[in-house]
Amino acid sequence: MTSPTTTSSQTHIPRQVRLPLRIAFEVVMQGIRIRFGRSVVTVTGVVCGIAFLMSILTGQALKKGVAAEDALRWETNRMVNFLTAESGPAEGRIFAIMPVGELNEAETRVLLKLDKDGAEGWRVDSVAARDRLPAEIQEGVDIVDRSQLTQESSALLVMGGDLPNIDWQQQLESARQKILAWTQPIENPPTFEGVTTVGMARAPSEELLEEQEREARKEQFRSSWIVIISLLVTVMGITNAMLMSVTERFREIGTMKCLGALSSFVRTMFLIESGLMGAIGGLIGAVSGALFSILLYGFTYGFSLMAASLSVAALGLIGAGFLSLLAGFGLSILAALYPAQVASSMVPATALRSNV
Amino acid sequence: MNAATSQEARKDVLSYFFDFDADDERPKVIRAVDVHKIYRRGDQETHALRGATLDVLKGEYLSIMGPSGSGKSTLFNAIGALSRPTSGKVYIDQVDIAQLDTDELAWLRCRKIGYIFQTYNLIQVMTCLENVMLPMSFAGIEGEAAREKAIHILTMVGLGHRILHKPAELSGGQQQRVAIARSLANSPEIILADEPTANLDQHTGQEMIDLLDELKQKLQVTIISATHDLKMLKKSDRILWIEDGRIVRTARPEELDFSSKEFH
Repeated sequence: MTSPTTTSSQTHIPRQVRLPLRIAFEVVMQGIRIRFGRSVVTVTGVVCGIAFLMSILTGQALKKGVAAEDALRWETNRMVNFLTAESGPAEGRIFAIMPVGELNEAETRVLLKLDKDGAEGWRVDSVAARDRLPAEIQEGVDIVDRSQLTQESSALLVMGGDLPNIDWQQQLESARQKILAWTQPIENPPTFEGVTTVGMARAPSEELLEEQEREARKEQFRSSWIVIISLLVTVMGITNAMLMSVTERFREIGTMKCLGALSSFVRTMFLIESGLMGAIGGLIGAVSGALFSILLYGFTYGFSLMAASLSVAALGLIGAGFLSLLAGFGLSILAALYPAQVASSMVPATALRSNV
Repeated sequence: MNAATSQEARKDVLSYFFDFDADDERPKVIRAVDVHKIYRRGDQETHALRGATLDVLKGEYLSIMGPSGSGKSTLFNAIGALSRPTSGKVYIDQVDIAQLDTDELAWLRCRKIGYIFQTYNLIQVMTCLENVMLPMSFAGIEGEAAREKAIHILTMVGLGHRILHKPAELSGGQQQRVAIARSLANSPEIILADEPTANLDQHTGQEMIDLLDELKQKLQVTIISATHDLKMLKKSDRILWIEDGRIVRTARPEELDFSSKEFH
């Protein structure tokens, strides 16, 4: 039989119009508004799953921040203790400082702590050296000649780098206390006749580091297992809700198909609906999960430590937020793939009475 | 065999292959040729249509009758581009629908056919106006042009004053009017009505039939309906009986005795 397209005058069948996303979006928005109750339940499921994910991630980030801050405070205290064990309490003493490079966080804190403990004054041998010290103590700094650097000083602190090759005995000749201290770890520390040397920093033992790392890995594995299970449950929940939504709307979908809707339109509609609810649920979940974790850790570790640790934790928190949003959106789309397929492969005749 | 009958037979055969009007001047908008439809569920086969052949002329008002399970709905779906036959040909406006893929069928349904359902099937979340505009947007017509046309059609079916109401706020008769307006949205050549008066009371049903009749005269559309409603049958140009998957009888209403038992 001849092809109908050649026998007829006006029966070329072009492709059906692909609707802009906007229309699908409008239909979806109207649908969500009307079936608001059920949408809220679905979104709540997403919120719970994502909030859990976010609270775990936030917890990890905060713990890291808190641990780093804690370690820093420990380190500072220990360094000051090593020094004052030799020099006596910082109160009323003058310290000479030789900053050979930029000071790190721990070194800065050591100076601040000495200042807080009542150090009388600071001596450096140049303007450049003074500028390397923390701004809080710069007012009390005397700039003197190198030869007078250690006069009246209780200790000479070499900070920000390795010990320079100087005749330390001569340098400390006129010092009140002949103490030479350095803040960066040195292998085989030198000794000088008549000079007390203090290596303030200790490199942490490798065993300890390994042990900590192992613990962290174990902890991460445990929590990621729970997170994966909870997210799977969330995905199942969304799939179930979307399947219900499809069944509920069989007639509506069939009608739309009778009116000329493409299968891809129907599929897009359900994916948009699910993705939208996932994005909203993900957003609410991420915020509530983060808040929950921050409050929890705040009460456990104290808010001041938390606030101090935020500089380290902030980046991790932002990353966790993005990950949670992405998970909420992505998992919702994933969960809706099957229901959307069911809906789009429905035959339009379902819209009619279905008796064979 | 005499000359006249062989001439007739030849005409009949020819009309299957070409757009050849045997009796009527009017073109055939739908032609079904030896349509079979078999539903398979597991091992079980249901032969819903066993070789149905029919032509529907442009501007005709055709009613299909048949008990449930007779294949009426299957025939209705087949000539309405809602499903493809297992074998045989269905031409809608001279296009063989078996040759079309899903998207092309959607195109055909969108522009050539308007559907009216027993349960109205309006989209509940949309206003009357949006319901009528929906098939237009599927056809790529949007904005002010679509809006104006939708308002025009709604006014034509007598609902110009309720365009912004949701279906739930309307009576059954009004909802069916919206559905009729929606079926006309893309100016189709064919209107397929599935028991359009079954859910309406006598009076409203009559109004709907009069409206369809009026639209048919005004717009020259072809109407095919599956119905048991006597009022509709009486208005039809032709009535077609289907039984056990075959078309067993066709008749014009004036040839029938509507007081007889088979109609009650």
